[in-house]
Amino acid sequence: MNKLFLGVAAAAMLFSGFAHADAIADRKAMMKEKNGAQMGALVKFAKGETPYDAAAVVAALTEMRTGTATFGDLFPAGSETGGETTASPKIWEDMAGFKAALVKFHGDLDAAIAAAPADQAALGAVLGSVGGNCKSCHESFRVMKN
Amino acid sequence: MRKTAAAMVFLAIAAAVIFYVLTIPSRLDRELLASIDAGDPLKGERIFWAGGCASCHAEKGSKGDARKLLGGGLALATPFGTFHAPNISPDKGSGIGEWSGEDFANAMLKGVSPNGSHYYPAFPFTSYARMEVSDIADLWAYMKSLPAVSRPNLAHELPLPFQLRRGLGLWKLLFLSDQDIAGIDASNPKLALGQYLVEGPGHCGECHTPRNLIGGADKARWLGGGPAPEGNGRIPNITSGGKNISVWSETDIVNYLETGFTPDFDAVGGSMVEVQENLSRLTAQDREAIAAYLKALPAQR
Repeated sequence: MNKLFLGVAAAAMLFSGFAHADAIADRKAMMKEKNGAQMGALVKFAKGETPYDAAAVVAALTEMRTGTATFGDLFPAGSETGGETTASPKIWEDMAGFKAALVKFHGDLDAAIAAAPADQAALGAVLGSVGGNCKSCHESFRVMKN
Repeated sequence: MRKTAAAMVFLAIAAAVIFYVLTIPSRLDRELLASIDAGDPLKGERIFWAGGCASCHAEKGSKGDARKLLGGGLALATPFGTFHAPNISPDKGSGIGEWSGEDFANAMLKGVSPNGSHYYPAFPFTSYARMEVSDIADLWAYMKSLPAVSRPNLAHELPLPFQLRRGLGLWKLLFLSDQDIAGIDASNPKLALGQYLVEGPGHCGECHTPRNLIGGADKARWLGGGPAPEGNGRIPNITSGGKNISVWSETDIVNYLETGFTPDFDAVGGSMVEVQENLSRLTAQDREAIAAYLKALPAQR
Protein backbone atom coordinates (compact mmCIF):
# COMPACT_ATOMS: atom_id res chain seq x y z
CA MET A 1 0.00 0.00 0.00
CA ASN A 2 2.80 2.34 1.00
CA LYS A 3 4.70 1.40 -2.11
CA LEU A 4 1.69 2.10 -4.28
CA PHE A 5 1.24 5.46 -2.60
CA LEU A 6 4.90 6.34 -3.10
CA GLY A 7 4.70 5.28 -6.72
CA VAL A 8 1.69 7.48 -7.35
CA ALA A 9 3.32 10.38 -5.51
CA ALA A 10 6.53 9.98 -7.50
CA ALA A 11 4.60 9.84 -10.77
CA ALA A 12 2.65 12.94 -9.78
CA MET A 13 5.85 14.79 -8.93
CA LEU A 14 7.44 13.76 -12.21
CA PHE A 15 4.37 14.80 -14.13
CA SER A 16 4.16 18.21 -12.48
CA GLY A 17 7.89 18.54 -13.12
CA PHE A 18 7.36 17.99 -16.84
CA ALA A 19 4.32 20.23 -16.94
CA HIS A 20 6.31 23.13 -15.55
CA ALA A 21 9.66 22.41 -17.09
CA ASP A 22 8.73 24.83 -19.86
CA ALA A 23 7.98 27.66 -17.41
CA ILE A 24 11.34 27.11 -15.74
CA ALA A 25 13.19 26.90 -19.07
CA ASP A 26 11.32 29.94 -20.39
CA ARG A 27 12.11 32.14 -17.41
CA LYS A 28 15.76 31.07 -17.43
CA ALA A 29 16.05 31.88 -21.14
CA MET A 30 14.25 35.21 -20.67
CA MET A 31 16.61 36.17 -17.86
CA LYS A 32 19.65 35.35 -19.99
CA GLU A 33 18.61 36.76 -23.35
CA LYS A 34 16.51 39.76 -22.36
CA ASN A 35 18.27 40.86 -19.17
CA GLY A 36 21.81 39.50 -19.18
CA ALA A 37 22.60 39.96 -22.86
CA GLN A 38 21.07 43.45 -23.06
CA MET A 39 22.78 44.54 -19.87
CA GLY A 40 26.07 43.26 -21.27
CA ALA A 41 25.60 45.33 -24.44
CA LEU A 42 24.59 48.41 -22.44
CA VAL A 43 27.59 48.22 -20.12
CA LYS A 44 29.87 48.07 -23.19
CA PHE A 45 28.32 51.34 -24.38
CA ALA A 46 28.66 52.90 -20.92
CA LYS A 47 32.32 51.92 -20.67
CA GLY A 48 33.07 53.03 -24.22
CA GLU A 49 34.03 49.52 -25.29
CA THR A 50 31.44 49.90 -28.06
CA PRO A 51 31.23 53.29 -29.85
CA TYR A 52 28.25 55.16 -28.37
CA ASP A 53 25.01 54.75 -30.34
CA ALA A 54 22.01 56.40 -28.65
CA ALA A 55 19.46 54.59 -30.82
CA ALA A 56 21.02 51.20 -30.09
CA VAL A 57 21.01 52.03 -26.37
CA VAL A 58 17.28 52.77 -26.40
CA ALA A 59 16.72 49.63 -28.48
CA ALA A 60 18.53 47.49 -25.90
CA LEU A 61 16.59 49.09 -23.02
CA THR A 62 13.35 48.52 -24.92
CA GLU A 63 14.26 44.90 -25.61
CA MET A 64 14.82 44.43 -21.88
CA ARG A 65 11.48 46.10 -21.08
CA THR A 66 9.24 44.33 -23.60
CA GLY A 67 11.18 41.07 -23.48
CA THR A 68 10.55 40.69 -19.75
CA ALA A 69 6.98 42.02 -19.68
CA THR A 70 5.59 38.55 -18.97
CA PHE A 71 8.37 37.44 -16.59
CA GLY A 72 6.04 37.49 -13.58
CA ASP A 73 3.72 34.95 -15.27
CA LEU A 74 6.45 32.31 -15.48
CA PHE A 75 6.23 31.25 -11.84
CA PRO A 76 3.01 29.19 -11.72
CA ALA A 77 2.26 26.98 -8.73
CA GLY A 78 4.13 23.72 -9.26
CA SER A 79 7.20 25.34 -10.82
CA GLU A 80 8.88 25.81 -7.45
CA THR A 81 11.36 23.01 -8.06
CA GLY A 82 12.91 21.10 -10.95
CA GLY A 83 14.90 22.05 -14.04
CA GLU A 84 17.80 23.36 -11.94
CA THR A 85 15.71 26.35 -10.98
CA THR A 86 17.39 28.85 -8.69
CA ALA A 87 14.08 30.51 -7.83
CA SER A 88 13.75 30.97 -4.08
CA PRO A 89 10.68 29.58 -2.27
CA LYS A 90 10.19 33.19 -1.13
CA ILE A 91 8.70 33.99 -4.55
CA TRP A 92 5.67 31.85 -3.73
CA GLU A 93 5.61 32.84 -0.08
CA ASP A 94 5.52 36.51 -1.05
CA MET A 95 4.15 36.65 -4.59
CA ALA A 96 2.91 40.22 -4.02
CA GLY A 97 6.38 41.38 -2.99
CA PHE A 98 7.90 39.62 -5.99
CA LYS A 99 5.44 41.23 -8.40
CA ALA A 100 6.05 44.63 -6.78
CA ALA A 101 9.78 44.25 -7.39
CA LEU A 102 9.04 43.55 -11.07
CA VAL A 103 6.77 46.62 -11.29
CA LYS A 104 9.59 48.75 -9.91
CA PHE A 105 12.08 47.23 -12.37
CA HIS A 106 9.78 47.94 -15.31
CA GLY A 107 9.08 51.46 -14.01
CA ASP A 108 12.81 52.21 -13.87
CA LEU A 109 13.16 50.84 -17.41
CA ASP A 110 10.29 53.01 -18.68
CA ALA A 111 11.99 56.05 -17.16
CA ALA A 112 15.31 55.05 -18.73
CA ILE A 113 13.74 54.67 -22.18
CA ALA A 114 11.95 58.02 -21.83
CA ALA A 115 15.21 59.67 -20.78
CA ALA A 116 16.94 58.34 -23.92
CA PRO A 117 20.48 58.70 -22.48
CA ALA A 118 22.55 60.69 -24.95
CA ASP A 119 26.06 59.88 -23.78
CA GLN A 120 28.16 57.48 -21.68
CA ALA A 121 27.70 59.46 -18.46
CA ALA A 122 23.92 59.63 -18.82
CA LEU A 123 23.78 55.91 -19.57
CA GLY A 124 25.96 55.17 -16.55
CA ALA A 125 23.45 56.89 -14.28
CA VAL A 126 20.54 55.06 -15.92
CA LEU A 127 22.27 51.69 -15.54
CA GLY A 128 22.84 52.43 -11.88
CA SER A 129 19.10 52.68 -11.29
CA VAL A 130 18.07 49.85 -13.65
CA GLY A 131 20.90 47.54 -12.57
CA GLY A 132 20.14 47.99 -8.88
CA ASN A 133 16.96 46.00 -9.52
CA CYS A 134 18.98 42.94 -10.57
CA LYS A 135 20.74 42.75 -7.22
CA SER A 136 17.85 43.68 -4.97
CA CYS A 137 15.53 41.15 -6.58
CA HIS A 138 18.16 38.39 -6.55
CA GLU A 139 18.94 39.20 -2.93
CA SER A 140 15.39 38.35 -1.89
CA PHE A 141 14.15 35.90 -4.48
CA ARG A 142 17.00 33.74 -5.75
CA VAL A 143 19.09 31.00 -4.17
CA MET A 144 22.43 29.69 -5.41
CA LYS A 145 22.54 26.05 -6.45
CA ASN A 146 25.97 25.34 -7.91
CA MET B 1 32.14 -2.31 46.46
CA ARG B 2 33.06 0.71 48.50
CA LYS B 3 36.35 0.86 46.64
CA THR B 4 34.53 0.92 43.30
CA ALA B 5 32.26 3.71 44.45
CA ALA B 6 35.22 5.72 45.69
CA ALA B 7 37.00 5.18 42.37
CA MET B 8 33.91 6.35 40.47
CA VAL B 9 33.66 9.50 42.59
CA PHE B 10 37.35 10.14 42.07
CA LEU B 11 37.05 9.71 38.31
CA ALA B 12 34.02 12.00 38.17
CA ILE B 13 35.85 14.70 40.10
CA ALA B 14 38.95 14.27 37.94
CA ALA B 15 36.83 14.57 34.78
CA ALA B 16 35.15 17.70 36.13
CA VAL B 17 38.51 19.27 36.94
CA ILE B 18 39.90 18.41 33.49
CA PHE B 19 36.79 19.86 31.85
CA TYR B 20 37.08 22.98 34.00
CA VAL B 21 40.73 23.52 33.11
CA LEU B 22 40.31 22.77 29.41
CA THR B 23 37.35 25.10 29.01
CA ILE B 24 38.69 28.16 30.88
CA PRO B 25 38.08 31.13 28.58
CA SER B 26 41.58 32.40 27.83
CA ARG B 27 42.27 36.07 27.32
CA LEU B 28 45.06 37.72 25.38
CA ASP B 29 48.37 38.77 26.87
CA ARG B 30 48.04 42.43 27.93
CA GLU B 31 51.44 43.32 26.48
CA LEU B 32 50.23 42.26 23.07
CA LEU B 33 47.45 44.82 23.39
CA ALA B 34 49.61 47.80 24.41
CA SER B 35 48.60 49.71 21.26
CA ILE B 36 44.93 48.74 21.28
CA ASP B 37 43.68 52.24 22.14
CA ALA B 38 45.92 54.02 19.63
CA GLY B 39 44.03 52.98 16.49
CA ASP B 40 43.27 55.16 13.48
CA PRO B 41 39.52 55.36 12.75
CA LEU B 42 40.13 56.28 9.10
CA LYS B 43 42.06 53.06 8.54
CA GLY B 44 39.50 51.23 10.63
CA GLU B 45 36.71 51.90 8.15
CA ARG B 46 38.41 49.65 5.57
CA ILE B 47 38.62 46.86 8.15
CA PHE B 48 34.97 47.43 9.06
CA TRP B 49 33.85 46.76 5.47
CA ALA B 50 36.32 43.91 5.02
CA GLY B 51 34.95 42.33 8.19
CA GLY B 52 31.34 42.52 7.02
CA CYS B 53 30.21 43.62 10.50
CA ALA B 54 27.14 45.39 9.09
CA SER B 55 25.83 42.22 7.42
CA CYS B 56 24.71 40.86 10.79
CA HIS B 57 24.81 43.85 13.14
CA ALA B 58 23.03 46.51 11.00
CA GLU B 59 19.33 46.48 10.20
CA LYS B 60 18.57 43.91 7.47
CA GLY B 61 18.10 45.59 4.08
CA SER B 62 19.37 48.99 5.26
CA LYS B 63 21.43 51.01 2.78
CA GLY B 64 24.03 53.77 2.82
CA ASP B 65 24.84 55.36 6.19
CA ALA B 66 22.23 53.18 7.92
CA ARG B 67 24.79 50.34 7.53
CA LYS B 68 26.78 52.06 10.24
CA LEU B 69 23.99 51.77 12.82
CA LEU B 70 25.00 48.58 14.59
CA GLY B 71 22.01 47.94 16.83
CA GLY B 72 21.97 44.25 15.90
CA GLY B 73 18.92 42.31 14.94
CA LEU B 74 19.72 39.64 12.37
CA ALA B 75 18.35 36.23 13.36
CA LEU B 76 20.72 33.50 12.17
CA ALA B 77 18.95 30.14 11.93
CA THR B 78 21.45 27.27 12.20
CA PRO B 79 21.26 23.52 12.88
CA PHE B 80 22.20 24.34 16.50
CA GLY B 81 19.44 26.91 17.08
CA THR B 82 18.70 30.55 16.29
CA PHE B 83 21.26 33.20 17.15
CA HIS B 84 20.35 36.89 17.42
CA ALA B 85 23.13 39.30 16.44
CA PRO B 86 23.69 41.66 19.38
CA ASN B 87 23.98 45.44 19.55
CA ILE B 88 27.64 46.41 18.94
CA SER B 89 27.05 50.16 18.64
CA PRO B 90 28.77 52.41 21.21
CA ASP B 91 25.53 52.71 23.22
CA LYS B 92 26.34 52.53 26.93
CA GLY B 93 23.24 50.65 27.99
CA SER B 94 22.46 48.15 25.24
CA GLY B 95 25.63 48.27 23.11
CA ILE B 96 29.35 47.97 23.79
CA GLY B 97 29.87 51.56 24.98
CA GLU B 98 31.29 50.39 28.31
CA TRP B 99 33.88 48.08 26.74
CA SER B 100 37.63 48.69 26.86
CA GLY B 101 39.89 48.16 23.86
CA GLU B 102 41.12 45.01 25.56
CA ASP B 103 37.57 43.70 25.84
CA PHE B 104 37.08 44.29 22.13
CA ALA B 105 40.34 42.54 21.19
CA ASN B 106 39.47 39.52 23.35
CA ALA B 107 36.06 39.27 21.70
CA MET B 108 37.53 39.46 18.19
CA LEU B 109 40.64 37.31 18.63
CA LYS B 110 39.62 34.89 21.38
CA GLY B 111 35.83 34.77 21.24
CA VAL B 112 35.66 35.72 24.91
CA SER B 113 33.23 38.29 26.36
CA PRO B 114 34.21 41.03 28.85
CA ASN B 115 32.74 38.98 31.70
CA GLY B 116 34.87 36.02 30.67
CA SER B 117 32.44 33.67 28.99
CA HIS B 118 32.73 32.07 25.55
CA TYR B 119 30.97 33.49 22.52
CA TYR B 120 29.19 31.15 20.15
CA PRO B 121 31.01 30.77 16.83
CA ALA B 122 27.98 32.22 15.01
CA PHE B 123 30.16 35.27 15.65
CA PRO B 124 33.08 34.46 13.31
CA PHE B 125 35.95 34.94 15.77
CA THR B 126 37.24 31.67 14.30
CA SER B 127 38.29 33.81 11.30
CA TYR B 128 38.90 37.12 13.07
CA ALA B 129 41.47 35.29 15.26
CA ARG B 130 43.85 35.63 12.27
CA MET B 131 43.67 39.45 12.28
CA GLU B 132 46.56 41.75 13.15
CA VAL B 133 46.27 43.55 16.50
CA SER B 134 46.91 46.85 14.68
CA ASP B 135 43.84 46.23 12.48
CA ILE B 136 41.76 45.42 15.56
CA ALA B 137 42.93 48.71 17.10
CA ASP B 138 41.98 50.68 13.96
CA LEU B 139 38.60 48.94 13.79
CA TRP B 140 37.98 49.67 17.47
CA ALA B 141 38.76 53.36 16.93
CA TYR B 142 36.33 53.42 13.99
CA MET B 143 33.53 51.59 15.79
CA LYS B 144 33.72 53.98 18.72
CA SER B 145 33.14 56.83 16.25
CA LEU B 146 29.83 55.40 15.00
CA PRO B 147 26.43 56.53 16.33
CA ALA B 148 25.06 54.87 19.46
CA VAL B 149 21.86 52.87 18.91
CA SER B 150 19.66 52.04 21.88
CA ARG B 151 18.24 48.60 21.28
CA PRO B 152 18.15 45.74 23.80
CA ASN B 153 19.59 42.40 22.76
CA LEU B 154 17.44 39.33 22.17
CA ALA B 155 18.43 36.06 23.84
CA HIS B 156 19.59 33.26 21.54
CA GLU B 157 17.09 30.43 21.11
CA LEU B 158 19.10 27.27 21.68
CA PRO B 159 18.22 23.82 22.97
CA LEU B 160 20.24 22.11 25.70
CA PRO B 161 23.17 21.31 25.69
CA PHE B 162 24.05 24.28 23.50
CA GLN B 163 22.77 26.73 26.12
CA LEU B 164 25.83 25.86 28.19
CA ARG B 165 28.59 28.10 26.92
CA ARG B 166 31.33 26.51 28.99
CA GLY B 167 31.43 23.48 26.67
CA LEU B 168 32.51 25.79 23.85
CA GLY B 169 35.94 25.75 25.46
CA LEU B 170 36.42 22.21 24.14
CA TRP B 171 35.13 23.23 20.72
CA LYS B 172 37.64 26.08 20.62
CA LEU B 173 40.51 23.69 21.42
CA LEU B 174 39.60 21.88 18.21
CA PHE B 175 38.71 24.75 15.90
CA LEU B 176 40.15 28.08 17.11
CA SER B 177 43.48 28.86 15.49
CA ASP B 178 45.32 31.99 14.37
CA GLN B 179 47.33 30.12 11.73
CA ASP B 180 47.01 30.52 7.93
CA ILE B 181 44.90 27.86 6.27
CA ALA B 182 45.69 27.51 2.58
CA GLY B 183 49.21 26.54 1.59
CA ILE B 184 50.05 29.27 -0.91
CA ASP B 185 53.15 31.29 -1.74
CA ALA B 186 53.25 33.67 1.23
CA SER B 187 56.34 35.47 -0.13
CA ASN B 188 54.11 37.02 -2.81
CA PRO B 189 52.74 40.18 -1.14
CA LYS B 190 49.59 40.21 -3.28
CA LEU B 191 48.72 36.61 -2.38
CA ALA B 192 49.57 37.24 1.27
CA LEU B 193 47.19 40.23 1.37
CA GLY B 194 44.48 38.16 -0.32
CA GLN B 195 45.01 35.34 2.14
CA TYR B 196 44.78 37.73 5.07
CA LEU B 197 41.58 39.37 3.81
CA VAL B 198 39.84 36.09 2.91
CA GLU B 199 40.93 33.92 5.86
CA GLY B 200 40.90 36.73 8.46
CA PRO B 201 38.52 39.69 8.45
CA GLY B 202 36.59 38.64 5.31
CA HIS B 203 35.64 35.33 7.03
CA CYS B 204 34.70 33.88 3.61
CA GLY B 205 35.30 30.34 4.87
CA GLU B 206 32.48 30.62 7.42
CA CYS B 207 29.98 30.06 4.60
CA HIS B 208 32.05 28.83 1.66
CA THR B 209 33.74 25.97 3.56
CA PRO B 210 31.59 23.00 4.56
CA ARG B 211 31.25 22.24 8.26
CA ASN B 212 31.60 18.92 10.06
CA LEU B 213 28.97 17.41 12.38
CA ILE B 214 29.91 19.58 15.34
CA GLY B 215 30.04 22.76 13.31
CA GLY B 216 33.77 23.11 12.76
CA ALA B 217 35.13 24.15 9.36
CA ASP B 218 36.33 21.16 7.29
CA LYS B 219 39.66 22.74 6.34
CA ALA B 220 40.53 19.88 3.99
CA ARG B 221 37.72 21.21 1.79
CA TRP B 222 38.68 24.87 2.22
CA LEU B 223 36.32 27.18 0.27
CA GLY B 224 34.92 24.16 -1.56
CA GLY B 225 31.30 25.21 -0.99
CA GLY B 226 28.53 23.35 0.77
CA PRO B 227 24.89 23.41 1.76
CA ALA B 228 23.57 26.87 2.60
CA PRO B 229 23.24 27.34 6.37
CA GLU B 230 19.82 28.84 5.67
CA GLY B 231 17.27 28.03 2.99
CA ASN B 232 17.51 25.27 0.43
CA GLY B 233 20.37 26.51 -1.73
CA ARG B 234 24.07 25.78 -1.90
CA ILE B 235 27.01 28.02 -1.18
CA PRO B 236 29.29 27.97 -4.23
CA ASN B 237 32.73 26.45 -4.43
CA ILE B 238 35.03 29.47 -4.89
CA THR B 239 38.23 27.59 -5.71
CA SER B 240 39.23 26.94 -9.32
CA GLY B 241 37.44 23.59 -8.99
CA GLY B 242 34.14 25.48 -8.85
CA LYS B 243 31.83 26.24 -11.74
CA ASN B 244 32.52 29.98 -11.78
CA ILE B 245 36.08 30.51 -10.58
CA SER B 246 37.30 27.80 -12.97
CA VAL B 247 36.30 29.95 -15.95
CA TRP B 248 36.45 33.49 -14.55
CA SER B 249 39.69 35.45 -14.90
CA GLU B 250 41.11 37.46 -12.02
CA THR B 251 39.66 40.55 -13.71
CA ASP B 252 36.22 38.89 -13.82
CA ILE B 253 36.41 38.19 -10.07
CA VAL B 254 37.54 41.76 -9.33
CA ASN B 255 34.70 43.12 -11.45
CA TYR B 256 32.16 40.88 -9.71
CA LEU B 257 33.32 41.99 -6.26
CA GLU B 258 33.16 45.63 -7.34
CA THR B 259 29.90 45.71 -9.34
CA GLY B 260 28.00 42.53 -8.48
CA PHE B 261 27.82 41.44 -12.12
CA THR B 262 29.22 38.16 -13.44
CA PRO B 263 31.01 38.08 -16.83
CA ASP B 264 27.72 37.17 -18.56
CA PHE B 265 25.81 39.85 -16.62
CA ASP B 266 24.03 37.67 -14.19
CA ALA B 267 23.77 39.60 -10.91
CA VAL B 268 24.88 38.63 -7.42
CA GLY B 269 22.05 37.28 -5.25
CA GLY B 270 21.10 36.05 -1.80
CA SER B 271 23.28 36.82 1.19
CA MET B 272 26.24 37.48 -1.14
CA VAL B 273 24.67 40.84 -2.11
CA GLU B 274 25.59 42.39 1.24
CA VAL B 275 29.04 40.82 1.11
CA GLN B 276 29.65 42.20 -2.37
CA GLU B 277 28.47 45.67 -1.33
CA ASN B 278 30.87 45.60 1.60
CA LEU B 279 33.76 44.47 -0.61
CA SER B 280 32.96 47.19 -3.15
CA ARG B 281 34.04 49.67 -0.42
CA LEU B 282 37.57 48.22 -0.16
CA THR B 283 40.43 49.42 -2.34
CA ALA B 284 40.91 48.06 -5.87
CA GLN B 285 44.20 46.62 -4.62
CA ASP B 286 42.33 44.64 -1.94
CA ARG B 287 39.88 43.17 -4.47
CA GLU B 288 42.75 42.26 -6.81
CA ALA B 289 44.51 40.49 -3.94
CA ILE B 290 41.36 38.52 -3.08
CA ALA B 291 40.98 37.46 -6.72
CA ALA B 292 44.63 36.40 -6.97
CA TYR B 293 44.33 34.36 -3.78
CA LEU B 294 41.17 32.56 -4.96
CA LYS B 295 42.80 31.66 -8.29
CA ALA B 296 45.92 30.41 -6.46
CA LEU B 297 44.01 28.10 -4.09
CA PRO B 298 44.19 24.32 -4.50
CA ALA B 299 41.11 23.32 -6.54
CA GLN B 300 38.31 21.64 -4.57
CA ARG B 301 35.94 19.33 -6.44
